[in-house]
Amino acid sequence: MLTLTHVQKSYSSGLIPKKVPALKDLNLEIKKGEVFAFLGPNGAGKSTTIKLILSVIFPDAGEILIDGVSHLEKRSRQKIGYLPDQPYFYDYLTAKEFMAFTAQLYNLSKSDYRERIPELLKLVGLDGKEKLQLRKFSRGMLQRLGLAQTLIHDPDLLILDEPMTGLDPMGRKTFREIILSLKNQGKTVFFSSHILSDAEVISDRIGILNNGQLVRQASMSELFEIEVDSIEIMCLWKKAVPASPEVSPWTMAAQDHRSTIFTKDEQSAEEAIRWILGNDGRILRVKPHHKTLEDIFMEETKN
Amino acid sequence: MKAIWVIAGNTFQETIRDRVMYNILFFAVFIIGISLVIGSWSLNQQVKLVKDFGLAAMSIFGLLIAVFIGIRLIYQDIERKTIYMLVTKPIHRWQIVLGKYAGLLLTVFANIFVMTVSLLVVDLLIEHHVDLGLLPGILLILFEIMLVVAWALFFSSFTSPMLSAVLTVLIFIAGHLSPGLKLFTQLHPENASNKILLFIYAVLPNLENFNIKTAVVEHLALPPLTVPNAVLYGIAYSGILLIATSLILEKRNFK
Repeated sequence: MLTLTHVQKSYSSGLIPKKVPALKDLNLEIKKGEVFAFLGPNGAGKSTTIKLILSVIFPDAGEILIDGVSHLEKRSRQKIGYLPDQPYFYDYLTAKEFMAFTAQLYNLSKSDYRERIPELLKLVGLDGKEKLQLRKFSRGMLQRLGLAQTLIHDPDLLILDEPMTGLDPMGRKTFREIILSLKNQGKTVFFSSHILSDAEVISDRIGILNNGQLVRQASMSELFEIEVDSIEIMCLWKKAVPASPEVSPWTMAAQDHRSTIFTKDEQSAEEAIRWILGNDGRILRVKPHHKTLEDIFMEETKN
Repeated sequence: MKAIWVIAGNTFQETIRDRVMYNILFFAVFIIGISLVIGSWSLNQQVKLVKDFGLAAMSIFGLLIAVFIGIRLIYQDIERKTIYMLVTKPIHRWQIVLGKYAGLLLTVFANIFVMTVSLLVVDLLIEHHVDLGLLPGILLILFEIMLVVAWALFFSSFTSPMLSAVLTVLIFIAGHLSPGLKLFTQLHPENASNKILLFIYAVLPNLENFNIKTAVVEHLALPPLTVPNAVLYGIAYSGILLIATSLILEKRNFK
């Protein structure tokens, strides 16, 4: 659905202009129907990437294709619904006027959007606010309106830049539900976020950008399969708890006839299980603990 | 084409809310009205004075409205990043330029209309009939402002409002003085810098083409194609500026 190939972008800064690379040879492919979370610290290049896709800025090198069409062709943008990181809307318009304006720019006729506008405003929790001027909207309301306008023309690809910013927990829940509903409809969602817990819940795949480079890209299932933090083994002893071998790749906490053993990896866990069984112990539970997305993010972006 | 009219409508909605514009318009209508009083002090020249005053006020205040709104139009969109809502849509950037221009022209037209009504009402009060002979003069004032708006839009696509305002006003002044450049080269054919002066004359807009105020007030006969030629000149010159503005914005990275 969306392909970036060898995309590079630099900015000039300083009195004597010096090129500062914002994106270095970015290669990314987003499949149709998936929800892709684009993560990274501030200044990593996430918004730059999104602006390049939408032709707000132009790459120094590389190619961007939207469903096989160059991003420079205006018809490619017909398939995209875009939510900017800040609500850059004309604040003298009412919500209804703004939605109608957006619909007309997507070449929708009045009969197309007349019923769609109140439906979308209701979907994002802004029913009853059609005639309110945007200057009177709160930050969260503008964010909701922003999501509504991305959907007015029923796009195939949604590009959302920090969509959860400014939302209260109820708003974030609504957004998550809408994104999951869009996924069920076969839509493709590409979003950047700082809120890793939300990304963890709704994404199929994630990409982590750091200093203009994609440092990690994986599906959520692959990520948590690979990234086992520790394995906890609970066991029961018939007699007294035996002492661990002098050199053992685990730590043990014991109480009465029960022990909990913590190992770092599967190999150590196997060794611990053999030791338990060899000492007449009974395995009650083996539980792998996965790293959170936050842990993985911190590791990949620590430099 | 639809996108152009959608953006024009939105631009008109945006500019018609500008308080600066209403201040200028109020002042223009006031000046036109006050000419009735000033005219009464003149010796049998009241009608001429009111018409001269009225047309001059329309020209100057129309220019001020065009400059103050035109210089901020694209610049404001870029600064506030509302331009993102336009460039991310399936429309060409030149459609954005044309839409903004058309919207601003609608605003200027609305203002000139109000000033025209004011002038014709004042004229009706003193002459007891409406002098429709003023209308060609007013039409060319409108086309002159159209050309100035195109310059304001051009400057606002790459520089700050303050600099845009200064440059647009300078172009307006130079445009009225430019015939003098050609006259100078004709009077001094031996001058070494004539080629440069003629180049400047060719590039600068000749705004005297639109100045038929004296002729319409005095009911003088004009050469037959004066008005159509000026209209075509205004359209062609504005068109070139709009193409240049579109080319600038086509390649621009909006941060």
